[in-house]
Amino acid sequence: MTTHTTTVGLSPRPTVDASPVDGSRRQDRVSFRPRLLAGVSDGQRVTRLDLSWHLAIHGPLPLAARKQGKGTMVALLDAASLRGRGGAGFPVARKLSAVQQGRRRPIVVVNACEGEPLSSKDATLLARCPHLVLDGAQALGTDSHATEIIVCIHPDRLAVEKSIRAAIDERVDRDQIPTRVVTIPEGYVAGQASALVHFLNGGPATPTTTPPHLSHNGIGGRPTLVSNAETYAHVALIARHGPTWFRSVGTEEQPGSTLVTLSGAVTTPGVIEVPYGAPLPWMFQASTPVRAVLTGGYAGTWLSPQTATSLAWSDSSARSLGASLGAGIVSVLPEGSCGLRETMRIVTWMASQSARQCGPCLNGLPAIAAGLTDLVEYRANQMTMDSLRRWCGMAERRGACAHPDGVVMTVRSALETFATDVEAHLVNTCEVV
Amino acid sequence: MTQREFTQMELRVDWIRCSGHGLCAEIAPELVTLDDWGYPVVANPVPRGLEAIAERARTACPAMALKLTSHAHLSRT
Repeated sequence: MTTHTTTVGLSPRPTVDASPVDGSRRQDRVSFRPRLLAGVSDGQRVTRLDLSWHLAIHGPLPLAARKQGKGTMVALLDAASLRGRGGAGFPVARKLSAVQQGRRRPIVVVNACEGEPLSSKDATLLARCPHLVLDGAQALGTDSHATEIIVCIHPDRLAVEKSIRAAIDERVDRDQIPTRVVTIPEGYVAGQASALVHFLNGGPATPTTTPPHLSHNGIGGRPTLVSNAETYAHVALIARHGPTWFRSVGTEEQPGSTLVTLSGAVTTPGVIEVPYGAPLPWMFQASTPVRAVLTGGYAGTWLSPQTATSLAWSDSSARSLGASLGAGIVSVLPEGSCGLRETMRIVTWMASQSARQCGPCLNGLPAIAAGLTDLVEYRANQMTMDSLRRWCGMAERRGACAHPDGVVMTVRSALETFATDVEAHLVNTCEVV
Repeated sequence: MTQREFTQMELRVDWIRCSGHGLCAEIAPELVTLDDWGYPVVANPVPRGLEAIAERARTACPAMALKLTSHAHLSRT
């Protein structure tokens, strides 16, 4: 599986001892066959499933999922307990139901912007199995009597754009709802749902204040369904195989499978598919001894190797350990790298990605980034740390979108997980670079 | 404090509109303080007896960034 290079250096450093830390060895006691990624990789080669391949592997969408305006998908998705895969985990049935209650015909938006630098699952889906995503969008679109499907992608991902455009051309005769691709400007918050709609309405790609909710007042004032690309791919399979099949893997509370992007000090970086509830040590093998694991991405949480080892890939396990899974991201920091420095890089970049609309984010994130830089460069004292914690409180939950909340989560988890490094940096020492 | 001393009302900030004029904190210091950068920190919900002051703070905002709402669960301040 391929992945694009990420912007910060979580890449492994060569060390003498290349054996994995305890528990990070892949244990083959969970058997699972990929669903979304079925047929994409045979272990050596990675293929793009064109329409004929896609149909050979998954079969066609059942007729029931191609009938106009039946409104049957809500019950199906509710029975499957499908939740959105963009990170927020909102129940898809509720979102769809809200959209279908509008007076006007809705618009369906496939969000494949994936502004998170450590994620490449949506790019992988669109590049490898675009028809699954398009099937799901068609199923929800026809069910809701939608007029249009818009696939939103970030620029500079040429393989992704080429693949999705080719897929739309391939199936133009089969599809009931016209589909177009829109390139959204680069930026972390540009992929936020309200920012997408803001842009599609002719404005800048910046978040807007909620309410109004997009489900009844989105593009052109129409009901608008915005969901992550992976969510639609799951819809395509639920429409084919039903909710019972969907629930046959995963946990009772969180059924199904999900895509996870692995990066950093792992032997197999890239996108994998796992059932919910999978133990983290089962998901990858570390390529060097591990200093810490970042889950959830730039708006995520740093976990010690001990905590990471006891994490199962589910929201309930994550909650109990204070971890975030985000949009499915695991990045492994090798021993010998400074977690505070990585956090400083992350926060500095995130501060630059602010839409610069809300005061607490516009002022708070650069302040937090500067405080962390002082800490990393041995210029900090106890007062710096007090300010850092105060700024975190001031930035949190005080913006139109959750951008500052994510940054604060990452910073707080770093200060906790790397507490001994904080002390070391305060007395001008750090064992690593 | 008992619950009776609070109203159902909350002062909500539209963070995109707010540009940190600080008038709300001048008018209603009982309800609003300012953070390190001059943006409002609101103590919600509005206590009983301070409804009129909350309303004055709302109308005084030059950016029209304050809303008085009774939907406590929708608040994001």
